[in-house]
Amino acid sequence: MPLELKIDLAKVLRKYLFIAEYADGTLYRQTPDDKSIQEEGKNSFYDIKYRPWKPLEELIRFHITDGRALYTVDLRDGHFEVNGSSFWLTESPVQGGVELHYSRRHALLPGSSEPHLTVYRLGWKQDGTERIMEIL
Amino acid sequence: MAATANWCQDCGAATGSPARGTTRYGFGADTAYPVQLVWDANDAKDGATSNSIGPGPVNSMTKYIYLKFGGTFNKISNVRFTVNNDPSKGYVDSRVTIKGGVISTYATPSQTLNSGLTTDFSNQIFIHDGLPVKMSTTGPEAASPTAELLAPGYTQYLATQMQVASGAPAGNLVTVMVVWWDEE
Repeated sequence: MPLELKIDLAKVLRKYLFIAEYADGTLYRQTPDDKSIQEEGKNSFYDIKYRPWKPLEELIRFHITDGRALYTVDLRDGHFEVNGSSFWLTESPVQGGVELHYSRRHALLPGSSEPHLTVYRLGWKQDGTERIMEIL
Repeated sequence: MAATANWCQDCGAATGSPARGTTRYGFGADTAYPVQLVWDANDAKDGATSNSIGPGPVNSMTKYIYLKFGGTFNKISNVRFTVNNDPSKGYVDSRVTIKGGVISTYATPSQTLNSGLTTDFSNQIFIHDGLPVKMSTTGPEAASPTAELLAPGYTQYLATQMQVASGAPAGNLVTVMVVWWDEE
């Protein structure tokens, strides 16, 4: 009665890198080595959310890109963009700004020759409501 | 920089308080990770895929698997667990059930029917509806695991047992344990 237990994390490649855009036009670009600019042993997202190198309230847009496609969440009104084309996952613009959600969901899948899958999850939260765009 | 994840397994007699397995594979600095889980009559890591139990009535040993998270991350959350059957490789005889649960309590594995494993994975449970799993920096047996992990640590035990009812033939079954998690 076999149950395969393999995760080969060497095969886990970071497909998308993020770009954080601030109100004054400043951009923070995640680099492929994904290292914090502030603290050894931390990753780039640490600089955005966990020890913000610039105030979180100044973060207005957050993008991820693989160099071809660009996915965006706008934290001022909650709209999303794919390659510059805007759309909403709400009936109207969100008032009062929203909180960024960005994570990578890892899964070990059944019956797959590729044992590991990463889904990039980009969106926002506000008062118990969340809208997340999942990108393979 | 990213989180790393490795499968681990506890075997042997329960020891300590809270109880854990005497033999720990993959725990701490150990890298003897299990590569497959065979629901057989042995309380051991891995096992030959030719091993089978049955005909029923009989149960496999309860297997105590868990994940170890390491590497670099800010937060691990939303961990879920299921066991998926692969229809292309076999099927579950209605008299064969895979029972499981997410628990922090280790007991010496035996072939006695484990009534504490209440989820029947023989009925397809997709990972979106999988069992929620908590974590701890100390071990799968920790008394107060949390839904978010902010430093290297472990999931609770993902305990499973194959339960074969009377009349079921001996044989093999290919399934895959599925765990997902969100990383920031």
